[in-house]
Amino acid sequence: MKICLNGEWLQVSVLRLDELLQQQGFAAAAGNFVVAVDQRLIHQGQYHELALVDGMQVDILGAMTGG
Amino acid sequence: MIVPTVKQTVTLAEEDIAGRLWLGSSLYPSPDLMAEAITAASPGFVTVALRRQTARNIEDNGHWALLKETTSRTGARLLPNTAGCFTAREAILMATLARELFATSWIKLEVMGDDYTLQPDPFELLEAARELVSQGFKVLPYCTEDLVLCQRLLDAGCVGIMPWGAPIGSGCGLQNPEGLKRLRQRLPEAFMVIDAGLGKPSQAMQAMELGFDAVLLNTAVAQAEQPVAMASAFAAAVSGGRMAYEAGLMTERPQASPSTPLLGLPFWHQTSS
Repeated sequence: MKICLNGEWLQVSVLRLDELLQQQGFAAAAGNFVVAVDQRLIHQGQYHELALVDGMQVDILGAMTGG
Repeated sequence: MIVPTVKQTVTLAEEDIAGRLWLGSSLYPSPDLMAEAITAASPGFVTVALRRQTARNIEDNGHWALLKETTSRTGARLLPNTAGCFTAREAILMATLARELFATSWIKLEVMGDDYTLQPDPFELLEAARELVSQGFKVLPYCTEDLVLCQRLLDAGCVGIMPWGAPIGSGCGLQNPEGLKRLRQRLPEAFMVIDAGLGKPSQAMQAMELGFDAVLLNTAVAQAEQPVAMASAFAAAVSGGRMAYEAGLMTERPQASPSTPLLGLPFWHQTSS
């Protein structure tokens, strides 16, 4: 299955969002990022419930400076 | 000796905000200088943003760690922005993500309409403001000085409005002081912040003398040769401007008026009529 992670297409074998985050190394950064799937916020408690679907757009955002 | 003082804390949406100078967190030469400048300015709000990041970016984000520590120590609140959004839909998503990440309902709502001037899109802005207010956000929209737009934003439930002084990052100061003056006069109860375009402390002081409740700026401090000293200069200007506004400025008049009495001079002048 292919998903679009932060704007880049990626072939993945994992099935759920929490597995994808774990695979991409985000587990240690929990609480310091937010996730949007297909332009909708996914709360942290929902990561393990969300099944990935081919073509899904996953965005992971963290804090940065701003004006 | 009576030392004049001005109350720095200001109440907005039933919350105490620690200062009338609000500061951006971008463009500083280093994280340490950013932290020192924020400490020197003691701002009411510090603006922040969110962007796509890798796990490594997030783990190595020293800027953010320092910003959290500094704002916590100084009492400044975080004000996430929706910079870079061009539609109401984008801004609503960004605000929703920001509330989750930063654990705050405050949002600096930016919806741009022109990527050259970064002039806000009033139609998308108003649509986004209505939706975010309905979702419980405390919305501070970045807008122009258009009176009707500002009134509509307040009617929509925005806790304040943030008209621009000049285009973002331009440092041109108050380009339409008469328009801003009229806005202040027509909406006397509104909480108003001059956001963007301020390049000098004197321009911040001018905004405060006009009766605006706060100013928000970034580049003028962050890109100064000495950001920490400039942060202090802006803090002094904002304080002085507010003090002057509260003291009541004299009314301008087109003709000279002698401050020393003419009565009692030992000679007599014929005056022209």
